[in-house]
Amino acid sequence: MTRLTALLARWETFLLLVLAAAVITGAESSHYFLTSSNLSIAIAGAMPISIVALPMTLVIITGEIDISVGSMIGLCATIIALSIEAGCSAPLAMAAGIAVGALAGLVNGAIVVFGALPSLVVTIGTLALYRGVAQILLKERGVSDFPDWYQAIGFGTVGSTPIPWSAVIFLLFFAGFAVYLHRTRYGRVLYAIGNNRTAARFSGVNVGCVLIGVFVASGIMCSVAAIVLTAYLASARSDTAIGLELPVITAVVLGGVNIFGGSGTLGGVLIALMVLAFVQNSLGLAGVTPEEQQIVTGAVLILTLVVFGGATKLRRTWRGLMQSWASE
Amino acid sequence: MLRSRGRAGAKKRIVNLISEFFGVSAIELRGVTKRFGPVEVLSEVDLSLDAGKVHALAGENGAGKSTLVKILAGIHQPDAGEIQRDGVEIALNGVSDAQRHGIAVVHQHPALFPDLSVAENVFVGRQPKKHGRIDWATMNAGAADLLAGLRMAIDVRLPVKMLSVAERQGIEVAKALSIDARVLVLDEPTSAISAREVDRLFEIVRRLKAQGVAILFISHFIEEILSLGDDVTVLRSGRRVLTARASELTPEKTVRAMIGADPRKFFPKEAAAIGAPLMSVRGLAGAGFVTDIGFDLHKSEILGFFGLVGAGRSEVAEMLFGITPPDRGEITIGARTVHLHRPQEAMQAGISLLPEDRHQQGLVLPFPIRSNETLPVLRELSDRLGLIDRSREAEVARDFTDRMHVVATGVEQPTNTLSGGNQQKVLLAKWLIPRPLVLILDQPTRGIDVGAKAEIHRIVSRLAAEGTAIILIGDDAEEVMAMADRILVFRNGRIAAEFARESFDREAILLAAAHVARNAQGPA
Amino acid sequence: MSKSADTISAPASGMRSGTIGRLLHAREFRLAIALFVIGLLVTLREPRFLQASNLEQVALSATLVCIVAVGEALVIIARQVDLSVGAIVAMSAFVSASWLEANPNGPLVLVFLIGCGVGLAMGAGNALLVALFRIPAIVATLGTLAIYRGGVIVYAGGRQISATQLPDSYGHIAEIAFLGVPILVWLAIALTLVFGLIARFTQVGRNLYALGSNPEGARFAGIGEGRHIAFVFLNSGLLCGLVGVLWGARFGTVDAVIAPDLNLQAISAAVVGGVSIFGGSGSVYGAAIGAVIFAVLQNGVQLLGINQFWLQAVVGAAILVTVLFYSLFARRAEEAERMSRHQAKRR
Repeated sequence: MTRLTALLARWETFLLLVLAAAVITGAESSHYFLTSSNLSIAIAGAMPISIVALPMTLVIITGEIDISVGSMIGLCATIIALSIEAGCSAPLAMAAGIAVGALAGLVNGAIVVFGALPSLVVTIGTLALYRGVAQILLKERGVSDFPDWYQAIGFGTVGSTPIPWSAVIFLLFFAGFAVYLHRTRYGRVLYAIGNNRTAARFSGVNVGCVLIGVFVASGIMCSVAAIVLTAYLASARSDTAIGLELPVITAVVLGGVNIFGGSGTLGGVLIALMVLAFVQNSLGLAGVTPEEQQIVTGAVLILTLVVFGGATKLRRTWRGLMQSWASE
Repeated sequence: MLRSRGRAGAKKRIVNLISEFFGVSAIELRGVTKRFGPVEVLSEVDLSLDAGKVHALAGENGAGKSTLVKILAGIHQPDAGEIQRDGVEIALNGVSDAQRHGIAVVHQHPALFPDLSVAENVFVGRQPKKHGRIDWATMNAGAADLLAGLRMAIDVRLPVKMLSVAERQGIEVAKALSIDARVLVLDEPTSAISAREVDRLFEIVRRLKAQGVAILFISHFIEEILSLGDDVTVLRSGRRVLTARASELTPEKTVRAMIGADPRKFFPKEAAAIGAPLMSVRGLAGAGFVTDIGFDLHKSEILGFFGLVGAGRSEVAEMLFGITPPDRGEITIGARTVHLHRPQEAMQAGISLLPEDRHQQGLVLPFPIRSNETLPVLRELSDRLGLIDRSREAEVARDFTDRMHVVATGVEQPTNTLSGGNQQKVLLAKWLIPRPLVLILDQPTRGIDVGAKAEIHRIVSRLAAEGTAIILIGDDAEEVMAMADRILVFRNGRIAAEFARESFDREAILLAAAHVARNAQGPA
Repeated sequence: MSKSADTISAPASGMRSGTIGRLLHAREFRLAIALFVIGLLVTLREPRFLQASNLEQVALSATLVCIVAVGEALVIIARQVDLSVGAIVAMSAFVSASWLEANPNGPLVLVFLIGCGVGLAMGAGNALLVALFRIPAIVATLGTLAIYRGGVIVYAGGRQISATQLPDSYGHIAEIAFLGVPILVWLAIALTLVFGLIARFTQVGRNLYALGSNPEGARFAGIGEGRHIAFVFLNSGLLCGLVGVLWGARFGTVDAVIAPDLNLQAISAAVVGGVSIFGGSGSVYGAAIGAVIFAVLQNGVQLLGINQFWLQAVVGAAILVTVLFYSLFARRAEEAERMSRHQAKRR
């Protein structure tokens, strides 16, 4: 197999075609779609989900799952809001939010590792717990006295360009996560754990430590998402980001990450995030409400997997197709 | 239910009588051939199983024994040849077909349902019913009855996850009996159980034989083949090379048929001068039953650990590698006392462990050869930020892949597309790259072809000559005797005997591993 | 239990023999004790807990979750998971309520048939994806959750159907009592018992456990994987359809966003009730008790005048405490028992 065919045979290449289709359909259906201001809005709106999808990719590659991300965002948003209300400066409030996010992730990881419990169950529990703590702290109130520069994180753009600040933050993190996952020994170890935990242990990998690490990363990135989201919404409530875990997991799975762990790339997840963002944006332009858009999100997920008879089979078909094409 | 079993038993005896009278075998394979892709794993194999007789099947790993078992179990279908039952051709197109024809298979690794009770495991898929509902009382009584017949005292309501491996095999036998098997296939049943449990299994086999069941017994222990079998068939590379009465065979003759040449030739141990003491272990205990393990290991020495599965050999290896931290004991390497609580510490101390189970513990199968080989040394191959030096990684992997003579398209070939022997060489490369002072090899040649075996022996021998201290764990006495400078024999978690190379005596070693326990010490 | 089995069972093993011993050992029994203790604690602080009207409220609020949890328990026992239950309930509730609104004089039986039909159809969607297309259940039902929920939102178009728009006979379903206990509660009890019996006394039920315990072994034993997976999803859909119809009757108003986190409630009830998330063990009785425990916690929080905002945190803590308890104590006890059994045999 040549370099070129190997590249073409990748799931990511297929996703790029889907992305192109999404962009073309979007441009066809609305002339407003391809304007820079619209794309800017589309991207800014997708950033909270995208930021959380980064650590979720790592978590799922190790064969675990984190259902509590939405609640961790809600909790961090609450902490940030309360800190600002209490008169803290915004940077201090953000630091507090990040600290609480790290702590929440640490609790998830510690229970999973030391309790030897399935992460699905543990994070369902902490999903309720963290959301509950947020409700206790903030009750039904909404907090929106953020400084202007803080709100710019969510809505503002870099200088006079249409690039949202949140996208810059995301891209920095994306680059960091991508290098971490695909170029460092730590990333290699995540795949080893996801494929064969025993063999990883027998190779001198401290599996527990690594797992706690990815859950902490998940918590920290949720706090970053909380900052971006509260800035974008210009308010923080205890129910911020409720149900966010579903679109995040959808994007990761659509990006070609095996839900049982061991394979997938961040590049694929990035393209999947863009597909979902553009599809939703063009639906929005067509007057479809966000609640109704989730049908399309679900359908994109299911159809991508079904039409080609499941992700693995599709990947194999696609690879075979490319190989036969190359050999001709 | 119980009565119907009795009636079926009577019917079985009558059928057997008739079969015997007309000289018809219970099950007969004629010219059975099976291919997987281009590879012919069975070529025109004939085999007849007679009522009331044990037919023992021997052969090296990869000789086609397990394929034959799977054909009898209805899991695989032959590409050519026929299967006859009582002289009539039958087709075994599924597990249920085989069951209907009275063929029961006890697999090497019992595939039971850990959460279900013993009784349910015996009757799974066909639980007895009364008025359309499952009749637990009858089921429990039936299972208890079957187990009592096997002299096994197990509460039939216990979940199977609470049982030992030997007990689980007993459940498989009970399952076979519950379908009123006329043909019982035992696929290496003794490989994972203790000597005492082997004795009990043999007793059960003899009883079933007396009841007129036709038995196919597969083992890689020559002694068992010759003592339990009435007839013996040897397979080599998918062909039947020998069928004879057990009484006419000697161990040497059988082994020669299995490997096709003089056995010694495959173990090219190089002479090496044994160096200074390197590692010493004193009073090591743990893993629930391992006690008082002590030995010294020298540079350039190959120390053999011989014993049956479950004797404690692998447990000691795992303690030395920090997988299972020991409860007690002192380990020193050089002059330094080391505490091994996790594999990382063992690796830092210069120990490598090639684990017993290549697929579960050894390799990350979907990984390319390169990533598997460099997994233990990624720290050395990466900078302070953790970025892997990819060209150096590839270089190291290529170097060792070549040295091990791994047959592959390159170091990027996924490991799961390699043959067993080549996978084992990758695994060996993986644990040689850290340049260990002490290399522990837990059954390094298990389940691989003869060529790869010889190559691994040569590599191990050369490593020892170059100064590496090696612990070689094996359950093939011939192999350990050929390779080792000294042998420690394990039994019930202790070192039962020690032999120096000059005084290697196959019988004494086997006896130390198995039989003395009963006579000299009583139940341990 | 027959006599002969008792006499040959290993004697000095820590495993208790006999019916009473086994009952004491059963996890459902321990759960019932936990439930009793929670109830007692609440009563000590607030005797009103034991008032008939309050107990009726507790039972009623447990009912609907209980029925869904029973279906979910069977799904989990077969080593699958159904995340779409809340959306199915919402769809069934809205479809049946709007049919009733359009046909106020239509027979109630038909409403139930419509609701159950909707649930069954959606369950069939899940079954198709998991059993036929072999998509992992967690991904497949994540997708159908979005589709079903989006579907009901589109269908409802932001509308809310309230009791005043529906015939009285419908709302009465929730008020009918038999022997002083609401008929909904009887229904939940009956369904729990029926599925408990199915799980224990039918071939299908036992096959589900076998499949969840060792899928490959089940294949070797000739247990058809696809059929059984389809069964659990169809069954879960059907029960959700039924709950959808009851939802409107019980709460009076129906809109598209009801039961938003019913999936997590049902899974939590099953897990707290001792159903292993990896399949193969647990029972529908446990799941039902789990549902009741959550209802009691909810009621207790209300009665004790604890701020409502504490409820969710209490629920989350309860889930974590239970699974940690299992991990730290129950599993260890099982391990100890296994060791003692083996040592007893060695001697």
